[in-house]
Amino acid sequence: MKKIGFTLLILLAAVYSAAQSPNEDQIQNSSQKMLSQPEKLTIGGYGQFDYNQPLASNEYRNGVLDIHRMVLLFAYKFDDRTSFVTEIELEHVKEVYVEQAFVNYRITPWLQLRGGLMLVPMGIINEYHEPTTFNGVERPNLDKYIVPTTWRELGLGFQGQFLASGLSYQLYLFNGFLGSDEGEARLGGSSLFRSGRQKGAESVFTRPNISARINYTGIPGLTAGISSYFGQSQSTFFDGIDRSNTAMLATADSTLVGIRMFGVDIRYSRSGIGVRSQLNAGSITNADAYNAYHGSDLGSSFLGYYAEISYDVLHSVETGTNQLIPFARYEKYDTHRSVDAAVTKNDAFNRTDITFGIGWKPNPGLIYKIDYQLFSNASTTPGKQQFNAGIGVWF
Amino acid sequence: MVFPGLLSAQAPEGQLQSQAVKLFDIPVVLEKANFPDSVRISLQEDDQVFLLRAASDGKIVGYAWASSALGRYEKFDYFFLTDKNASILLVKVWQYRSTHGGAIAGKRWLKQFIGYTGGAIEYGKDIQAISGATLSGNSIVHDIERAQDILAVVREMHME
Repeated sequence: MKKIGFTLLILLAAVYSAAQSPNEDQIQNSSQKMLSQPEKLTIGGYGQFDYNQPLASNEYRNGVLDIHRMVLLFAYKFDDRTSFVTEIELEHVKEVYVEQAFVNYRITPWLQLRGGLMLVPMGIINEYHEPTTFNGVERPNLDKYIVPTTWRELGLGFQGQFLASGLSYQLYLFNGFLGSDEGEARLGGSSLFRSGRQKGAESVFTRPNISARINYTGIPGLTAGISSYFGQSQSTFFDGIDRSNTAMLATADSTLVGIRMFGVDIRYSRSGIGVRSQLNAGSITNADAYNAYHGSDLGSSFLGYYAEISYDVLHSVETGTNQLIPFARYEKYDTHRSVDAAVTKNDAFNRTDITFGIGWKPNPGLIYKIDYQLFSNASTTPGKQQFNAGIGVWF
Repeated sequence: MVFPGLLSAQAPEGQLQSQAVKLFDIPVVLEKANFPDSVRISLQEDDQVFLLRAASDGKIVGYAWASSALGRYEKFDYFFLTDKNASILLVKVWQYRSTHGGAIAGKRWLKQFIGYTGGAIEYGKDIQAISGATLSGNSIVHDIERAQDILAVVREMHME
């Protein structure tokens, strides 16, 4: 039954895309043509539809067909200096999120004020996650568990570009991860900060965190960046405590952790060859008091990286906009790189993922992907394999 | 001195003028081009086409094109200058507004267009791709391709 459903989906998509006669100008003009005030409002979006099939030689496994994400983007230009951008996302068909919603005010090109719900500039995928821009059906697990993507919070700050030199920067104050919610831990050994993301939804705020990134694109084909993030997690515990109540404050302090995260990433493409690499590392302070209070297993430091290579085999072939891109990616990420004395290092959190697959892009806005993944870790538990297929659209 | 970044959207003529003088090494005058109706229909609102005439004898030494195209969320403004055979001499993205995709404004990346005289051109194949600038990259490549089609007609009209 699921195999028929899957074939139907692929057929539908193929028919739909064939009917669209890929017009090269479509990317630029479709959103403008749609509207009465083409200069002011831009509409765009992307969709990611996945089929994930865990593979096990000795037992049956259910596959999952998922409209993983459907995102609509609206950008409105109030005047030459002021604009508003918002992305509204539907995950798994029914969870609605606002992924971005910020105002940008341009004082000069190298000094722009930005505020609202913004993407934290850490890692490649967090800022560039349209499915036609990365290889593999799913986003790299390094980005999922360590970054953690899609990481967006309410913040305020500056960004700027020095156009001719290819340097740009972002510097923001952000609301932090919610570490402790009514006595419950939101941070943990396996998923690190992922469950602490507040995503702008009635976010608990106790202290701002700083995020900074410098990006360089001065060498043709190369995009490289360094990111950093410093701060503290947020906690609901402080609410209502008397400022002079030192005992309670001491307890409240054990619901907080300090976070320091660094990231370096590189993307390079030339003559059809693509190379991507990313490294994220960081440390967590006060994890011992946090774990003691909540009974959790948050690590004290983490490290992850990946290296990926791809090649567009149609690069030198006269096929118009068609690209056929096989790729391979090696990822290693450990959320228990070091732990405090009371926590046992869990080798299962020291993970290695190998992904290889292929993507076909008939035009820049459409991609069909399949890949095969091997998941393993440093513990004695045997590894797992998974087959994935997916469609990505971006308009 | 103009405070960088406070240039108005209409401003490229001053830049075009000074770049033309630098490129051709002689005093050059900008003249707005005329079009037949057939071309006028395919023109977009921000398109500007100029003839570059030598100040001394009025002969056409080249052409200039200024327009805007869509980056990730917002439009960017660019121009290019060509010699009298429409071979591109210089491309400049003089105003890029979105945070993402600004890599296309890089001087070295834009050098790839030098010598382009028109015809089919693909981002990622003929012009090297940059990660993070897919939309803006495709946008500027297609717009320059479109511009050369229009310039071909303008050149025909002014064959001397």
